[in-house]
Amino acid sequence: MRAFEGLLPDRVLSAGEPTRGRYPDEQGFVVDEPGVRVFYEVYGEDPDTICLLPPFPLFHSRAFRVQIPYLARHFRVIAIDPRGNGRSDRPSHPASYSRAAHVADVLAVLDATTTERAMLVSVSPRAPLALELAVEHSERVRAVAFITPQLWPIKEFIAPFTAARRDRYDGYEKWNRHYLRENYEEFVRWFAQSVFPHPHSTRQIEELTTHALETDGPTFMAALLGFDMYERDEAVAVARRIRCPVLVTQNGGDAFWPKDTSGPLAEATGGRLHVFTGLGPLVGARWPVAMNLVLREFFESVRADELSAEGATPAPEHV
Amino acid sequence: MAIAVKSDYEGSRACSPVNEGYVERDGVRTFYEVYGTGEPTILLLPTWSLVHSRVWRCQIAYFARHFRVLTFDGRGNGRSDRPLEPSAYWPQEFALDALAVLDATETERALTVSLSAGTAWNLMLAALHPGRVEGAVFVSPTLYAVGEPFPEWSWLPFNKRFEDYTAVRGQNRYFIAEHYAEFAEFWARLCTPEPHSTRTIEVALGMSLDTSPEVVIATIEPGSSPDLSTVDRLAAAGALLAPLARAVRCPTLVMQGELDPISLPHWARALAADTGGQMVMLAAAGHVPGARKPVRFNLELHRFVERVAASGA
Repeated sequence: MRAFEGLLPDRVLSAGEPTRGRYPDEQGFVVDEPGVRVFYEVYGEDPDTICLLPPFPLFHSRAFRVQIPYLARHFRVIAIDPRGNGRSDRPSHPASYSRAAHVADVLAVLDATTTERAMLVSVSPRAPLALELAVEHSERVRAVAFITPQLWPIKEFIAPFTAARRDRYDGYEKWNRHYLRENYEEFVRWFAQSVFPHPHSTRQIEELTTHALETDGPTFMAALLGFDMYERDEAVAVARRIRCPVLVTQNGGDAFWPKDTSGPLAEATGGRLHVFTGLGPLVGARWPVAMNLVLREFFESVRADELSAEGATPAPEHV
Repeated sequence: MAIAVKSDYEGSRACSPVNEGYVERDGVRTFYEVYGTGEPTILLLPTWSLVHSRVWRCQIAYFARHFRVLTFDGRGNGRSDRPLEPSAYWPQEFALDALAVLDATETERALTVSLSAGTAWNLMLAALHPGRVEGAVFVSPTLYAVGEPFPEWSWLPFNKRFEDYTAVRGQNRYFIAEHYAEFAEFWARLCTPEPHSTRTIEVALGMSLDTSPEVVIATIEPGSSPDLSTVDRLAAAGALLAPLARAVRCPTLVMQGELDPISLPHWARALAADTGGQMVMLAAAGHVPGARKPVRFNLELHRFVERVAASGA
C-alpha cells in the first residue's frame, strides 16, 4: 500500500457540508493493491495521536465532527473514511470489505502520516478492527477505546437478515438482505429515527441520514457481508492477549444496541468499563460533552502513565 | 402540532449564580441574579415578559467566565411579580427596574444588552443615564420601527375578534386570551426559523407558560387603543425611540439575524446609524441569535466588550 500521489484540492469537503468547528491540517488518500482509495484527515500537531477508526459505512468520518475539535485541542487526531462511504472508494465486492483490508487501511494511514503509534477509538461493529490491530500490531497501538463494542454478530439481526422476502418489514425486520438492498433509503430514514429517539435530535437525524445516503444499498450490503466479525469465544480469547490500556464504554439507552459485549471485553482485557447511565444509544453524537470528557480523561491517563513509566517528569497538566 | 412541555424544561444550568435577590419598586418585586466576579459587568436586560431571564441561558455561563453578568426577570414572568395593570409594563418601568438592580448589586456602570422589545429600555438607559452605561448592545431591535416595510406579523389587528382562530395566529387579544399555549408556540416558532430549533422552542414555550395571558395582554395594552393596529403601535414606538437613539453617546453594537421575520434589518441598520454604532448581520440566524447561534453570537459580543473595556481604560 502507498500514499496517493494525485492532486488534492486544498480543502476537500463533501458537497453542501456545513462549516466545521475545526479544519484538518492534512488530508490524503492511501491506495491498496487493487486500487481502492481510502481518505484520511489529520488535525493538530500534538506528539500523541488518537486515530478514530473508520466507522461502519452507514457513517463516515464526519460522524466524529463533535469529537474532533475538542480532542484536537489536546492531541493529534486522525479520522478515516471507511471503505464504502465518505470520500473513500466504494468497491462493489464483499471481499474488499474484509477485516484484513480495513487493518491494512489503518496501518497505511499511520504510515502515510508518519504515526509510529496511535491510540485507537472504535465504534460499535468496528470493535474487531481495533481488537485485531491491538493484538496483531501491538507495536503500533498505545491504547484502545472501544465505544459500545460489538465483536460478534448480533443475534437479533441474524434471523431477519436471512429471512425470505415479505410484504412489509417492521422494526428489526428491516435488517433483511432484500429490504436493505432494495429499500436502502427507507431503511436509513428508519435507522436514523430509531437510534436518535430523544427529543431535540433533529440535527443528528439529518446528519446521519445525509451521511448514510452518501453511499447506496449494494455498497452497504457488500460492506455488511464482507467484514469479518469474531465468534464469541474466539473474541474473548483474542481480547485476553491485549496488553495496552483499554477503555470500554457502554451506552445506557434502551434501544436495540446490544450490551452483551462490553462486560466480557472489559474483563478479558483488564480494561475499564464506563457506563453512560441514562444516555444512548449514540452518546458521542447526542451527548458529546459526556463522551468527550471520558475519552480525554482516558487518553490523558495513557499519556501520563507512559511518561511516569519512562521515569520522565510528567508534563504540567493540560488545560 | 403542539410540543409537549416537561415541567423541568429549564434543565440543568451550566453555571450557578454567585448572588441573587429582589428589588422592589411600587410594590412590584423583581428577581435578579449575579454570575461571575470579573470586570466589566454585563447587564443582560429582559425582553418581552412572554419569556424571562433564561432567554440568555446560552450567554450566561460563557460571559461569567470572563466578566460579571447580571440578569433579571422582567416584571410579569420568572420569579418576578406579575402586576396586571398595563401601566406597570410601560418601558420606563423596566428601565427603572434595571437601575434598581444596578444599585442593589453595587454596580456603578455596566454594558447593557437588550433583545427585541428590550430595545426601548436599553435606549432609555443609554440615552438618559449615560453615567451608568459603558456600552449598549441591541439584539434584534424590534421596537426601533422607524420605517416601512413592516413585518407580516404586525398587520394582525390586536383588538378585533375573529370568528375562527384556526387560521389566525399572532398578537391578537382574543387569540392570546383563549388560545394562550398556541399563541406561545406560534411566537416561539416565529422567533426561530432556523432548522433544529426544537430545544429553543421548548424552552421558550416553557417560559411563556410560566406567566399568564392576562399578563401578556397587559404588556401589549399600553399602546393599543382600539383604533391602533400593531403596525401603528410599532411606528409610534419607533418615532418615540429615534430621538433617544440620537442622544446615545456610548459605544453601541446592533446585532441582526438575517432570517429574522419579527424585527427587520432596515430597523437594525437605522438604529446602528442613529446611535453611531456598529452593525453585525448574523447569517442563517433568526430573532434570537443568542439562543440558536450562541458561539458566533457570544464571540461577537465578547469582541465588543473587549473593545469597550480597552477604550475606557
